[in-house]
Amino acid sequence: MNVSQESKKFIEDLRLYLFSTGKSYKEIEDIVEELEDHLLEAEKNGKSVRNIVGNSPKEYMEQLAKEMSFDVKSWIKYGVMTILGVFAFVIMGDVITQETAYSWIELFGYPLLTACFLLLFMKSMGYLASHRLSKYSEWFVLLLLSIVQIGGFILLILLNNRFGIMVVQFGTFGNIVLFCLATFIFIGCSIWSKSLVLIIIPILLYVPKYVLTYTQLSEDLQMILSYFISILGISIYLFLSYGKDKDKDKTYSQ
Amino acid sequence: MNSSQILKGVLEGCLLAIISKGETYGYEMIEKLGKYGFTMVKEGSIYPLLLRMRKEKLVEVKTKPVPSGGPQRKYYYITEKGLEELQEFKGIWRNISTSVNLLIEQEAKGELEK
Repeated sequence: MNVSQESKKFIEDLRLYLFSTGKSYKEIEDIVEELEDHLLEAEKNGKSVRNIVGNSPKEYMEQLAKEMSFDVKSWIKYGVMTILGVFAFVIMGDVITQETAYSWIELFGYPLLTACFLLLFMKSMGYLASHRLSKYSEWFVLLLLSIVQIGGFILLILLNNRFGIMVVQFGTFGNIVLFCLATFIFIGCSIWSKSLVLIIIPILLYVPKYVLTYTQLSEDLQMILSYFISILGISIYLFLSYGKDKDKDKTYSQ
Repeated sequence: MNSSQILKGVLEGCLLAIISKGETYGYEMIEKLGKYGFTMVKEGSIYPLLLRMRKEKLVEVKTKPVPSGGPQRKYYYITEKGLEELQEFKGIWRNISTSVNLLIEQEAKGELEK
């Protein structure tokens, strides 16, 4: 027995909205499970989601959110993890291309930008979850979000090229330390999140890049090839894991 | 005028009364409310209230598997504090409803003072 598509969408949106407003995972699962149970019974009796949450899902989500507490501890954890994760990605890339010198602008800019994007991202997710938008408007919001993100990083790089004075530079030993640090962060985050994403994505991203530096190919060709292989690899990985999730969904609903 | 505005405070007391009669869960509460004519209650609106009542320790929750199988279900129980709150609600409600009824009756008969 399972709830209808419409109810399922509402439940997913609710989960996302509560998550984006900083509620604790346990409390969210608690209320989501309870509402799912209610929707299941209501649908058996021929009622729809609208009978239950009224005409404004947003208003209803806000009502629930108001009664739930903000989970500071896990939000600090998420924030730190994300900043560490971005830090590991940036550093790993730099170690491979051996460009491990940083200015103040980079040292403060990256964490600050990441924190801002995290906030912006959560706000947008909350907005998307609580408004009934068309697929196009949803894509537009996501597009805008990624433009702002990429723009932010480009701005940082431009500022850095113009005004950045290198204050930290790492030698061979330093690079080895950074490499180990980044690896450690990837492994740590993977264990914490109980998923292999942060092991597999870096491997797909950096191994081709690294291997290609040993070839006789021109630098441009190396770059294009490594991007191509990485994107192909990541797409295949995402496709495969998406398929696996779907299977899991199926077995769950039976 | 919207009935949900008037309902807001009253519904909590009614839920306490229903829960005080023994273990019950969300959907069952709605059915019981329906039997008393509370069809204007948006079904989902009991959950924010239940969350608050739990936070205020007026009710307790136990999770048990559904008898017919399937997912876990949350059953609500009233606490000592909840019973006290219910007593208080009943007192307040009797006062309010008597006054409101009196006023409305007189207004209908045209006896309301200027």
